[in-house]
Amino acid sequence: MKKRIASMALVSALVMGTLAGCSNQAPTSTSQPDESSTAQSTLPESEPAGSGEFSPADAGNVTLRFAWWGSDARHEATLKAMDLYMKLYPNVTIEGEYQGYDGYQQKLMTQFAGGTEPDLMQLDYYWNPEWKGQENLFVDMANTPLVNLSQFQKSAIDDYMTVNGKVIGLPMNSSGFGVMINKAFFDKHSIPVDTVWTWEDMIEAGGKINKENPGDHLLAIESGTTTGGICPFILNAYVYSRYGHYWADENGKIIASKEELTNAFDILQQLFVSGTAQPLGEASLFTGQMEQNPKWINGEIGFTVDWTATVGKYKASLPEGQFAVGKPPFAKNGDNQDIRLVAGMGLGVSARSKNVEVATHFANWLMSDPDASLLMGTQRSVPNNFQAFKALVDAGAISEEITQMLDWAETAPAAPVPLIEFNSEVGDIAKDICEQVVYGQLTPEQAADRFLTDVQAKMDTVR
Amino acid sequence: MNKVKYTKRGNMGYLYIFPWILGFLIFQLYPLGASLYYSFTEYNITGTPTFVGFKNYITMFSSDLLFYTSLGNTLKYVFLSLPMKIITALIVAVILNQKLKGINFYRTVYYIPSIFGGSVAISILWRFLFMDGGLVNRMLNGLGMTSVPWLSSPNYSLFTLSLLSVWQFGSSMVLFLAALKQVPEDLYEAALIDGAGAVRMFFKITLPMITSVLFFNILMQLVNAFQDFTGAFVITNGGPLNSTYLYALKLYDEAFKYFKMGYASALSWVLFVIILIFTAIFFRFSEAATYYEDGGDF
Repeated sequence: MKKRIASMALVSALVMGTLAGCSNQAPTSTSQPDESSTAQSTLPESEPAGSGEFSPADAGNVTLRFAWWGSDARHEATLKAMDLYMKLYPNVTIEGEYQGYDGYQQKLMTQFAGGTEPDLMQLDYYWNPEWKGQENLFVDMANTPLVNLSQFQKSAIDDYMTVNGKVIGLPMNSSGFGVMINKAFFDKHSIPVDTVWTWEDMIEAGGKINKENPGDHLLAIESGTTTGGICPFILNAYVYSRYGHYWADENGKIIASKEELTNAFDILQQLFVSGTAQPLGEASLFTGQMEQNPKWINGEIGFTVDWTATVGKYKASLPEGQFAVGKPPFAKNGDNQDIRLVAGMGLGVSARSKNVEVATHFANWLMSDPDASLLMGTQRSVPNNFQAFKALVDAGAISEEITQMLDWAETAPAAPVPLIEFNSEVGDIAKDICEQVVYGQLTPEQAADRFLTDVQAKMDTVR
Repeated sequence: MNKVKYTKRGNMGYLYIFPWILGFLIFQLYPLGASLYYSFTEYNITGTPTFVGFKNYITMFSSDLLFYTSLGNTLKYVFLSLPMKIITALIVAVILNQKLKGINFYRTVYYIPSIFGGSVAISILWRFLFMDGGLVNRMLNGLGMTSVPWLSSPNYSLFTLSLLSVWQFGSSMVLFLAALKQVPEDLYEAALIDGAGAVRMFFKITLPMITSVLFFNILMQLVNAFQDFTGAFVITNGGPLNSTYLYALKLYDEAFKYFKMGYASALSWVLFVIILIFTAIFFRFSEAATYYEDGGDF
């Protein structure tokens, strides 16, 4: 117990400082809190910081629509927090519009086009390039008295929530990358849970396991979306780990060489040819829902890769005590063993909302109120807001798994990925190339050539 | 010159159909016109349209490889699913066209899938049925056969998706059933007297007598098949390896994933023209082959 409290206290101090060090220029990990965060311990408890003179109780009968994506556990937690707010302000009704990640952005964009977007919406920073061409879609959180931005990580606001010079949303979380482990599989194959994998070791071990047990695969990963799946796994994680840089720069230029890309595609091919990874077509049936993959549930998959924000759903899918987390794989003899740590999930308020003030008040309350934080728990990883984070730490409500993953990521945080890599069209071309490698339609070298021409051509048009 | 006299009764008729006309103007004609306009623009979904002439159409035919991929997949899908669906519907209708106790129960059971349609829930069910450890492969394993990568291999995925369409044969079956009941019994009696067997009677009497309904079913299913979307989106998302990347999915991606509404509008008009061409060819071909009780020849 004491060890757990100490560990969480350490993580709380480290996470509060880490994102201050993360910037687009260079990763500078720090264990000191950002200067702007030092005031959080002196905040008044009666009203959430930043609410000013406004009270929703004076707004008359108000109905707000709040959209988010997530798992069932996240939906339940968020609904509970909404219920609490509605008890505090009975004149306010909040309607939840929730679903899985797949199709969420498409629905949101369609709603924006039709002028029917919800009052509040959960945002993913991957979509920031899409918002760049648009003005005045969101309330500028830096210019409203209803929000106290000093209660959030400055770097999270600057690096993830600022578009066109405006703060389009409140950072909802801090999330680290890692592996989600099914301990039953590891026990079955006598693999220590704390194994830190290199890609090469993973392929060797996974190949042996699959040879002895054809239905078992060490890894499951889907073809994916622009924000997850084989392409980011190889082209971000492996290339960054092996060569110390991402495949593109902020200016939309491919900086990975043909040799580096060929090597990456070769690793990708080996993952599947060796039987380490579940056949791509099968795993892809569970894109964004790997916790529902029967092979995962039945202990025939060793691990998958994902963010701390998804720990809850993986843990809930397995029997008690069967879930663990691990560090993501690194490249053998690679230049970098940093782990991605992002504050990529934001809560935005539509600038066209008929109840902008109430919606903004609710957004600030949801992100900063200690009671709300306890209800929402860590279904979005740990909160980015200091008050909310402190509430969870004090209550011992942050799971060991999340604490551990954040600890690892905080110790060596990777630089932010250039957002051009998350452009939908660019991502789909890259995904197609990766798939062709997996299915043997392209050799790694051919894939590298195709990547350098086709992906660059598309990036030149979308920049 | 004769003037048309509008009687009060005639005006009342217009009043009765006015709600439909209003709905048609607002929900069909206006969107049609708007999408035609947008097809000549670059239109990011939250921005304003910029007129670019035929640029979208030129890009589509000259440099968008996935356009041809999606079109090819859709044509394969249509010519795979359509015959299977029509033949299955017809065979089941013939079997159910019998005066047996409890036959209505079986007619209902076979109709139910078309009520569910290709909904998201059914698509998810289809995924679980045909995935590697799904029910279908378990049955095959039970019979001593190896599993088939129904959804995970580019060689089988499109066929598996087309089975979802075939499974919804119920609505076509009901129409065939109604048509079969209209075939005069005396034709069969006369054929029996002449010594015709069941198969010969089917091809020489049944089939020609129901060609009008056959034509209708084929046409309706053809139009639907070109626009199928849900199964490809929910089950495979166009994969593996774009093998199930149907035209409707391409259209969706352009509109709602890449937010290129102008280009997506152009795609939708090209689809409209393709369906129109196929329909026209089919009408021309069927002219000579369809029997109408009120005076057509065959």
